[in-house]
Amino acid sequence: MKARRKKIHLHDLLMDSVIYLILGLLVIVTFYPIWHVIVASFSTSIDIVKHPGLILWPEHFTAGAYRKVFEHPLLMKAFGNSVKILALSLPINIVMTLLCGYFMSCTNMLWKRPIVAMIMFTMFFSGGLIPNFLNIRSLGLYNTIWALVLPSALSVHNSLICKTAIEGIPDSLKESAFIDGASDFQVLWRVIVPLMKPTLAVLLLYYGVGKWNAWFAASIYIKDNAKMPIQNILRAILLENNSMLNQVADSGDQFSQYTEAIKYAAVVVSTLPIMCIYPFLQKYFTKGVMIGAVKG
Amino acid sequence: MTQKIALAAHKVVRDFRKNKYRYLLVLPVVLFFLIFDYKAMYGIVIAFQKYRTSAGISGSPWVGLYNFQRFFKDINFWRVLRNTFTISMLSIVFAFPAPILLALLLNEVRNKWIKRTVQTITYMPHFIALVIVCSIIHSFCQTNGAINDIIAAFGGERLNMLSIKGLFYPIYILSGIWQNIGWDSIIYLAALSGIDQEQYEAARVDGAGRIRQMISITLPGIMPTISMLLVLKLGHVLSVGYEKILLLYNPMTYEVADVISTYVYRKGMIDTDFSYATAIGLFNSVINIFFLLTANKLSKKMGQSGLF
Amino acid sequence: MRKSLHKITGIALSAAMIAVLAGCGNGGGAASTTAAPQTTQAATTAAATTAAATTAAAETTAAAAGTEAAAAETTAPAENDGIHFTSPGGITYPLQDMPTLTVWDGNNDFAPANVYSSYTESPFHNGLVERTGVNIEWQYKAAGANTTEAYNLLLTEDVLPNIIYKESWKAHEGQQLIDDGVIWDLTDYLPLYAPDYWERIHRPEYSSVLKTVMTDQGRFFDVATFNEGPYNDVYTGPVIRQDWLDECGLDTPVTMEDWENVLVTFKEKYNIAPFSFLLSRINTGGFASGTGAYGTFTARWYADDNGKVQLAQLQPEWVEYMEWLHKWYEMGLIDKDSVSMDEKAMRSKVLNGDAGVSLTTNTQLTNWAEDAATEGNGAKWVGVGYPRVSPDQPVNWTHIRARCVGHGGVITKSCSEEEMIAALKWLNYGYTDVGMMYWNFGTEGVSYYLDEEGLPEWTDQVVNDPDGMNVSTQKYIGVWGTGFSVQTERFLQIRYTEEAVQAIFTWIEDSEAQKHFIPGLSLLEDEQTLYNDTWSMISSRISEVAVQYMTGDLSLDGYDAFVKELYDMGLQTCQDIEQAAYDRYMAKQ
Repeated sequence: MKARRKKIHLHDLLMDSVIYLILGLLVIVTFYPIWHVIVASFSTSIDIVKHPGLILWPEHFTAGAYRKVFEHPLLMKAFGNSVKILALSLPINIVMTLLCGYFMSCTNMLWKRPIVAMIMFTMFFSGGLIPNFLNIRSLGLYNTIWALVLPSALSVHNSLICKTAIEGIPDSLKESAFIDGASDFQVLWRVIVPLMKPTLAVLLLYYGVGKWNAWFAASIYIKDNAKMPIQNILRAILLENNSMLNQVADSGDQFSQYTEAIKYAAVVVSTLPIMCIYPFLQKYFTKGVMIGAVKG
Repeated sequence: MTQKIALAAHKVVRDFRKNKYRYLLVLPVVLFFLIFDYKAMYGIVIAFQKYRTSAGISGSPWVGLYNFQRFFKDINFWRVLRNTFTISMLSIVFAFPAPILLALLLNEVRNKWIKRTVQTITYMPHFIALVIVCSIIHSFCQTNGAINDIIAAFGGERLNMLSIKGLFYPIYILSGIWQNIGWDSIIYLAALSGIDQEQYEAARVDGAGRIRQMISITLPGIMPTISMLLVLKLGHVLSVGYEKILLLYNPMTYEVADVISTYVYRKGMIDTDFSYATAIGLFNSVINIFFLLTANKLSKKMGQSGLF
Repeated sequence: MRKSLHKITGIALSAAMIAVLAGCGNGGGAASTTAAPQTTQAATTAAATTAAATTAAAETTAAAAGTEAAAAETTAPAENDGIHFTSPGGITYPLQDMPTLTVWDGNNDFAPANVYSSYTESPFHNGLVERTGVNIEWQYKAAGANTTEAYNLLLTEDVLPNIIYKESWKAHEGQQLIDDGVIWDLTDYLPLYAPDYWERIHRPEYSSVLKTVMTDQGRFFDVATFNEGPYNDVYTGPVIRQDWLDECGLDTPVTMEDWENVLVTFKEKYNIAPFSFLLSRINTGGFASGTGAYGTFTARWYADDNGKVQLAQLQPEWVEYMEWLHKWYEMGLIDKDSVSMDEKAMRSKVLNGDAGVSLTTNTQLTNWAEDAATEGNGAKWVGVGYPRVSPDQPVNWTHIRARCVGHGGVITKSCSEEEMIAALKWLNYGYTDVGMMYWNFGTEGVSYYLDEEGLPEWTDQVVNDPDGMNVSTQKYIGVWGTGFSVQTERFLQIRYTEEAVQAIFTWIEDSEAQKHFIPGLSLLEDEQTLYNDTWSMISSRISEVAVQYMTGDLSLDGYDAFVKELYDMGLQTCQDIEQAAYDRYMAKQ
């Protein structure tokens, strides 16, 4: 054992240094935009305008932009709304996705193909803006928080991820559970869920981030700005003066209502909370969870 | 005849008896799609109408395939179709493997702290609003931007990189990788954690090196995930989003950058033409489904389970 | 009726108000009724005035006046405060016994200043309620939503808001809504219940407004918002570093040759590509007037001297203009980043001294001046007149916009006739002289005062507001974007810095652009789709090719082939449709 480790030592060292080099470069490159945003958010607007390229450190450090952002009358409320939406959505999302993924992974069922086809069909076709809107209104969800929770309760894409993960669990485990007299529900809950924690973490992340970043549904289904999630407020701030995305601003006849720095501060305030979820979920991505569970 | 029906009925009953809990479990899912998707699905018909909101679907006149003909007749039809395909394919060839490579590299890192740091940092750019990412791209590509500073340091000529047709795809794809490599690698990291560690032990005993292990154990371990995502990606071959392109293109690069979604976006700006947009969306969907089915079949042929 | 505000502000300001009204040059008789010390008296005069107009109007107004008189008896007698008045058209404000109206604002033009979470906190909105006597429930487009989408979703509602306000109404669209029974046809009601609006749009200087808001069938579907005068017509034009010009000992350039000389000098002296611009800015007017052309890179219709619709890009003058731009590009006088820059990058070039000549808006010019002052780099950007073919010729083309770009409010059938009339009277307020003052400048003594010449100026409270001028004006006024009123020249003139105000004066000098300008025309339904499909192909092709003529990626040798290509795409059809629509437009009066 000891001898072998020594033999591949050089090889290992070389490989490790290549890996670390690549990852090191990647970290620098991907860290830059974050740094750019953070630095800009602590700068004065004129410094941002003055240094269009690389900014490494705020020339005049100020938290003024943050003060402005927190003064926005709707921002904190919107923040709370987003948290509420997330808290309501995630449990529903996860349960629905497990059900859908589990069904799609099952075999030997007469109605599986038509049902799966019916589910997949929705990935490509939808009734469009106005019929969807009329539907939500007729269901009495218009201008309620449920309009942001229920219509997006299940994503086919995520169900397929779930399905692939379930298929990755050795059949023997499921079968032995069935032989022990477990029902589908018990198998799903007692055998499958504990074994697919990493995938559940991914799903949680996908749904969480997706919900947090969503703005379109709210712009259609919500009428009162007091019920808006944070992204809509952020979007209003960011796009106010972007002539490429906002035709109205192109008239050039408007004031730049929000100065540059505020945009960056708004981005930091609205994304930092959701970004912090990841480190907590990371522990589920450790190697060998599966084998440990199987043995235990 | 009656026998046949009886047999079929028997089959249905038996299937239901055997799988009743499974059907029960999928019931909420089916109801969900019926209520939130199928109930509004009738809206597709406006692709065949000249729809006006104040008249509604029942009051708007039917025009048959007119809206489709409008799209096919447009001189930009082939161009936007070609560009959409090109961008999709380039991102499948270059952007799709990038997060897989990152996941494989991270898998080789043994120091837990380094691994987590790299993961966390690479994943962060995904969260920065596109408007800001594109503003950074703009400033980097300008004649006095960071990239040109490097080029100039080596004696090259300063160029406005965003005005050069040949550079549009590299800028678009590379910035996409830059923004999403970490985020997209997460699912592979999850898949990696499911690989049986005993296989590595066995391989080591057989004297396989790390690269060998990577190829013969790690890669096959995440293959189901890779193939699933690839099939899904092919199922969205015509769905290239408009926002980033709008923020990056200009008249100098329209020829290579104009895609279906930006075309629809511009049309919508001139006049809200829901019928036309729906017709183009329908065309997209049909092409996308064709690709999805083909890819799914291929993936099944190659021994993967496929999407369905 | 709320008394709190005007008790504070009601310090006998009537004399000053009369001065303003007299200054506005009309409605002198009505002004004197305004000065009448008692509401009751004002009401009587109002009834008398209206009786001369029409019986129906008189009846309603008299009824209103009657109740007002009753109200005046029970409550404390109203001071003469510039709030209570009867308009020249005979409507007495504040109105009495009015229903609450809902107004949907698809543009967020009437949104409260962003320091308020609701309009109920906004001084402007509360003041408007007090002055008009009408409670308004404002509904705004959701944050982040797209106006056209939001508007189309709104139309599916079972009960529409009483008033729908949005941008770019087209006369044909309005006629369609009347025919579909969605909105009221206001033609017969406007002269009676919005008499001051009616009178104003019929003034000769607003003939283009009238043409825009009247349908081809001669009907009126909305109450439009528009701009006052030539000063509001232009907001983009050429700008230059005056300090560099002085340093180089050069005169203000007039012809293309002059401009080239300036650019060359700047390039040599400061070692930069001095002419830097955003495509969106050069496309509006650009330097086209330097050769007598009518457009830059984007396709543009204009009316020639004979009233014929022409495409700017088909004229020899345009080719000559492109030759100039190409030459300047080749000489390194034009910044290569110009074809892809965004507003922020432009501002950065300006701040860092990487540009000496540009085209920009008066708003940006204000920002640039502020940046230069903060930075203390001595840069002095000023507006200069559009280039001319020769110094003694007028300017044939500049950036220009219509007096009325199509913003306006329609009254939906959710209103009963009575409510529709109430809505009209409420809308009419902004078009009276008193109402216009309120929409443009807010409350006298709070947001503005009158200087020695009787012109409004912001008070210190507005100027020194810690939230900044942008927000502070928005707290008190309603024409920040556009209002149910007329945006006055004076408003723009005190909104911007000295440089920005001067810039517009130079841009409109000797301009004949208004004569050639064709506003967004209203097309008939069958013309619409055909035109849109063909025109979108042609216009995107033009903007793509034209830029490449400048950069040299395409040679002007291929121009004839390009013109043929445009005709093959259906240019003639578009031109015919545009001409027909223009003829219909001109025929309206």
